[in-house]
Amino acid sequence: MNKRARVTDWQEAHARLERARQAIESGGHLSPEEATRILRNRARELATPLEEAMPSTEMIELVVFTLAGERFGIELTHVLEVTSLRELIPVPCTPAFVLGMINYRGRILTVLDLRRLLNLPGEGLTEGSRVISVKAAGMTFGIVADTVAGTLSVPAHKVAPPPEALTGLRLALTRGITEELMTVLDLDALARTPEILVNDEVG
Amino acid sequence: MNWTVSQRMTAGYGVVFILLLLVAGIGMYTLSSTSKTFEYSLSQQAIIMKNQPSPKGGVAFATIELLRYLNTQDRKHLKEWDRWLAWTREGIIEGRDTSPNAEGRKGWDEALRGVNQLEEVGKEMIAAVAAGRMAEAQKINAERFQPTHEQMFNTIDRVLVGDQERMAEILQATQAEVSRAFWAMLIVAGVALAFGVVTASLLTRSMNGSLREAISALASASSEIVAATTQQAAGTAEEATAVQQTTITVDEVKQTAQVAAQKARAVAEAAQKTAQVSQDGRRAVEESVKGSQEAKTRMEALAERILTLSEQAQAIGEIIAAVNDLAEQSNLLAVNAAIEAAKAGEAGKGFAVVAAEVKNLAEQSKQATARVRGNLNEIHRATQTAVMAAEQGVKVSESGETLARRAGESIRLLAESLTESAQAAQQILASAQQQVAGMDQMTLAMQNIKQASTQNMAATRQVEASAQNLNELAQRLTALVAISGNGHLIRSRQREPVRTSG
Repeated sequence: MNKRARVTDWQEAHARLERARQAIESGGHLSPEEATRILRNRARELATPLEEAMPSTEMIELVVFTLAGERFGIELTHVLEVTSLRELIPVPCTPAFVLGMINYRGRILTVLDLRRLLNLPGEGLTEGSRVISVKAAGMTFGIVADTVAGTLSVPAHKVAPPPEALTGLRLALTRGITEELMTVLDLDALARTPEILVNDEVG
Repeated sequence: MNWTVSQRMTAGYGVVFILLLLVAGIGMYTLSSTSKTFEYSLSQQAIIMKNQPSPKGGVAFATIELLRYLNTQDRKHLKEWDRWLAWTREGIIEGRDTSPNAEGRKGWDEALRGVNQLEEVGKEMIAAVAAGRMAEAQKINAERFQPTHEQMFNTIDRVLVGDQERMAEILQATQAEVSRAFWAMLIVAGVALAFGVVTASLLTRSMNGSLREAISALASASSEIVAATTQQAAGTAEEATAVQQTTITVDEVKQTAQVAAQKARAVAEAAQKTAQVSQDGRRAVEESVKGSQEAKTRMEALAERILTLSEQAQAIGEIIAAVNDLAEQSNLLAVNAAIEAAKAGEAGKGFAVVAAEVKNLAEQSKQATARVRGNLNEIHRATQTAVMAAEQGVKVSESGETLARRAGESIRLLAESLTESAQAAQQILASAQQQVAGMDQMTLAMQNIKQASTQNMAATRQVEASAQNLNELAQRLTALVAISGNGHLIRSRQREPVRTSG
């Protein structure tokens, strides 16, 4: 009985092997039905935002990123480029929120860790960490993000002023809160924050 | 005197025999003398009786014949004359021979001379007749023949009378002799009778007691023999029954032995078959060992292949990492493109869509790589499991091989013990056959015993009958003895039950 069952299993195994071989040989080429289905979904998805974008009043373009589990938004006008966090050079004798420096297209950029400034939990960097190069108040610097979600257009009226509960730097750096509880950062305020000015001297 | 019965009887009979010899001797002697006397007297008397008429008659007849010749001159009368003369002379000679005394014999001689004289005269007469001188013849007759004839008669008479007188004397003597002998016989007989009575009474008295004892012993012994033979007969009957039962038992044992032989034969055959099976089993075990080794080899090859697959999966993982990196880059590019598109305002709208699409693709690539990575992880785990399973399979194969070898060894031992069993079964078969043969012999012996028992029974019955006869004889003897003694002791044992078995 067991033997017979095993024989059946072998046949099944051979069948499975054959299916696997076919799948591998097809090299990920989709079957016509699958391709049609995917294309249809894509078309639907592409069609949707165009309809929503129609009643735009005053929109705020944001680059959305996540850090320590929170979503943050930076006004698009400040963003230069998003890059991978590579070849970070630690800089000694700097505050804790300065992670280090990177070479960004021939320029040396200071990379800030907002977690230190905003008292967010977590520390260290991941492989997928990004550096968002921004320019504000005449300064160019990098901000570390866990992930960069992309750009987002948000109506201006849907960005609420920061709640009164916020204090200190958090309040100073927050431009507003969206409905999705995304913090829109005020980069000008950040650039003007006296703390980020590196005045320390190594004595 | 402490003599045995036979000695006593021999002694008694010896005494009686001697007495009888004595009596017989005396009697013989007496009777012989008596018989002599009688014989003599009888012979004398016979002679007397015979001679009394014969010589006288002879002379008379001769005279008559001569006278007839004288008258007739017939010569046949002369022949008669001669015959009668010869007869007379014969009688005279006989009388002389038998005469009891000399005087008698002298008388008879005288008579003989008278006959001769008579003959002489007769011859003269005959001559005269022959010559025809009848007158002379008549004259001779008258003058000489007749007187001679008279004288002759007288002489014979005288002699006969003398003889008779002497016979009477002899008779008297004989009578006296017989009387003496009678008395002697009477006395001796009386003495012998007296002795015989005394001896007989003594013998009877001496023998009666021991005889009675012996007869009593004989009676009791015969009774015991009867009882014993009865018991023996009963025992023989029981023996016959036992023999029959034993014969039945022997038959049963024989059947059992035959059954045992059959079983042993079956066991031997089964053992041979089993030996074949065990050989097959050993072959199967060897094949199993080979198979186990083969399986082990294959398992090891399988493990090797799986490891190779694992390494290939690792290569895939590296490729996937590269793809992931590419996806990251694409994502970044897309983000930056989106930023640039947003900066471009309305003009960048279409580009923004493309950027979003690229980002989407990058996301999908990432997801795909994540899935592939997950699959690879799974493959890795499966590979690990498979390698471990293969290792376990190899171990199982090894243990299976060991077990198979052990099974082979067990089968070999089993085959050996089976061979021994087969041999034992063969031996059992042989002994069972011998047992059957022995049982046959036993049956034969039982039949012999049965026959012997039957014969024994017959003999016992004969002995029983003989013992009864003996018992009856003892009773008869008891009765005989009891005439002179008290036989109640024996008579009380007479009728004991003797015939108990048929």
